Amino acid sequence: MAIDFDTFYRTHRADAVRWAVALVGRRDVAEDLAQDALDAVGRKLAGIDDPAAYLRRTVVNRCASWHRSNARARRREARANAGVPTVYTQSTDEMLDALARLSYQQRAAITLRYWADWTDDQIADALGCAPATVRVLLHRGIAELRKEIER
Amino acid sequence: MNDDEMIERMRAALDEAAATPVPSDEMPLVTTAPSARGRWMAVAAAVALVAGGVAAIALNRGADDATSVTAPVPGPEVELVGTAAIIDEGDGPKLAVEILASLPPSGGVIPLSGFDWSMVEGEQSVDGTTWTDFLTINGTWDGEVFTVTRRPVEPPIIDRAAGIPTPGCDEATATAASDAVATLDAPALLISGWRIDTTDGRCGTEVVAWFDSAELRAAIDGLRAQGHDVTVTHTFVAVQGEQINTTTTMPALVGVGSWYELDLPGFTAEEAVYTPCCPPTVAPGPATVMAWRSLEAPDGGLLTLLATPVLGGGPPTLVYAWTDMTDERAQELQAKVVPGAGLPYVLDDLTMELVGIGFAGMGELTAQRYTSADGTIELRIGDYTGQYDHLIDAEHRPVTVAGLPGYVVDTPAGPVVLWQPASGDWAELIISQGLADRVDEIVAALRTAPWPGEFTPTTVTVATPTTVLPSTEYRGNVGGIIDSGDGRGPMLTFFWLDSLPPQGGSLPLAGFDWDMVEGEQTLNGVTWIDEPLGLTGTFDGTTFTLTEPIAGPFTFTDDVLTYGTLTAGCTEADTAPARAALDALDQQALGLIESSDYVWDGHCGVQVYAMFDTPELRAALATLGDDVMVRIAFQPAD
Repeated sequence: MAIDFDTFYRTHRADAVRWAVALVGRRDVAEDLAQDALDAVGRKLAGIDDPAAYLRRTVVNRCASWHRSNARARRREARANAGVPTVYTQSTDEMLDALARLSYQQRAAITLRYWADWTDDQIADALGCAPATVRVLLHRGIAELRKEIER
Repeated sequence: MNDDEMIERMRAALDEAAATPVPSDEMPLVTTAPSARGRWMAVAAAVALVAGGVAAIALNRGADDATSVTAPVPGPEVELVGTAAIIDEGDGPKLAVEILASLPPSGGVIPLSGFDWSMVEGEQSVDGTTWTDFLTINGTWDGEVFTVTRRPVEPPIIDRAAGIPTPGCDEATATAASDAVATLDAPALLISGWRIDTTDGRCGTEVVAWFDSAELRAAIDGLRAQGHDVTVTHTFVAVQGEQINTTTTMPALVGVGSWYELDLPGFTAEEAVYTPCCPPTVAPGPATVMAWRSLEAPDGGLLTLLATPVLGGGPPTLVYAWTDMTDERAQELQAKVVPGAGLPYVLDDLTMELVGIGFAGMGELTAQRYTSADGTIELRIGDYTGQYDHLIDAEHRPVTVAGLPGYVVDTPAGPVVLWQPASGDWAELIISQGLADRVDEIVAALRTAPWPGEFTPTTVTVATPTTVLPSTEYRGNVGGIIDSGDGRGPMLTFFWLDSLPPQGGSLPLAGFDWDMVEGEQTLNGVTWIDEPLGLTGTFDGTTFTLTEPIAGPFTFTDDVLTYGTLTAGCTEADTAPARAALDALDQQALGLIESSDYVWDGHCGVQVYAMFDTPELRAALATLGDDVMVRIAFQPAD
């Protein structure tokens, strides 16, 4: 049964933001990315069989794009604000910093599995890989995270 | 720490991140008219600020009237932006944050001025009540009336939904917080409403307020001190960022991004050169460049915008260019370009997508030159600085570059290949004319490659404001005068963009009346005269004020400030170092009108056209070497 955008939005917004927080570690950015993903999926609701799965993929992709562009964006902001006393968000939590140093796939696997409670299949679907690969990502990601924390 | 402990710690960190609003000291804030760049960043900050739910706007004391406001208000000089609906229930248009879902709806609170219904589209009317959807609205607030300063636009910039509720709390806890919010003096604190949000085992209470204020913060902090989980979303936040100062040097930022190598026999690769970006600029700041491409077809049209800020503030000068679309379509799209909330401008047309944004001629750049007996190829990768402008008025065709879509553009100097690498940078191959017939071979020989290495950070000297004495009377020639009908009044124009009506205007002109000239034309609210005029007047750093009637163009015998040796026997490629140095200058701060290569009769260099002769200009041009020719538009009248 097709659902309307309003129902879809109300049902999934909080989860979308939570997933994005897992993937980018910042609530403000997560809210924007989740909103973007919700809008993108909402426009196609009529043609989507499983909106929740589609939304998971979209959030993961949006957050991946953000990670790709974030470094450059931060430099642009730094340049544009040169001379203006601006403080940039640098996490003071060493766990968030450690997560930020993992590969995106490892980070996604760990945070979505252990914090957002996704299944391996859901993570595999969103990352576009096999469930077995997710398990490898989890195993290696945990090891990497430990190394980063203990560094 | 075992795996379980580490995962538990990760969960706690993410729980905290999910509940943490944007730090308030992250926001650059504001009171004075900023440059275009300042505004852009500050507006972006304003959006983030709303998303985070915490504001940090410096506010002034406002009126005492509790029915309007007792909370401090930003003051009428501060432009605000926010999301609200507009509703007129028969007593004039008002802003509404929460609309009662009746038919007709109700909920207007703050009266509007400067607004009429022709400024919006899609409003609905039932039984004498007229209302809009939620819109992005700019304006000022004097404590009683909100004065609209721009046409309200869709979409709203603020997500009206709640933030993430705290995990693990129960509804009774949230209800207690809500009950505590109910004890506050909502009208006095300009609280629009609040709500409990409970989802998936998490809950919280979100307060929606019109504006930030010390009183509101104190009240909310008081509730938090009692253990209530309360967040705040502000509806209106300040638009403008304060340009506090400029510094004289800045460390270079070392770039990392996509890179390519050219695998072509007969070519020798030089060292890659990194140019940092960007020094802080003085008012009015750099011009913004934007480009939108049609989604309807691969080459369904491209519209570019150059938004040049004007000394002294006011709306920037907007110059559009387009290709692969009709003039009628381009003008239709231009009418849909509106000031943005998170971007400088937004093209409100679903068939077009924003494909490039940056500052004109100002961006980080890494370049590498390949030389051969037949010519040179320069690979340039960096920020968007208007690369799409290559396509305007030039033959171009689509091409695939290392698996990515791009264009080959024929320019008088030779072909240019343009594409966007995976890193989001912009890439160009500048190919000299001698290799024009080998473009496809060159493109095919391009391979992705590792970033060429760590570059040594450098320091960039910042141009200082030009020194022009306000009391000095100047005399000079301009290309005409235009009043674009946008409220800025008449503007001096040095060069025109050839459209109808034309586009131009770079310096406000005072003491002028259209009776002073003959032959002006008017179309679509734009009045202009596009013939050379001789002006005499003073310049205060912002406005040129006429002190004598307008004359025909003056003839100067000494308008060439410096005529360098202009190297003989050189080619256009030899001007590259001087051209690169010229590009690195803050041309706007130095009052440059135009600059270009200069190749004539086997001699070459760069030529510069500047508004005034100043010590700063001379010092800057001295760094370019000898092959520089400078023309000055305005010279002391004596």
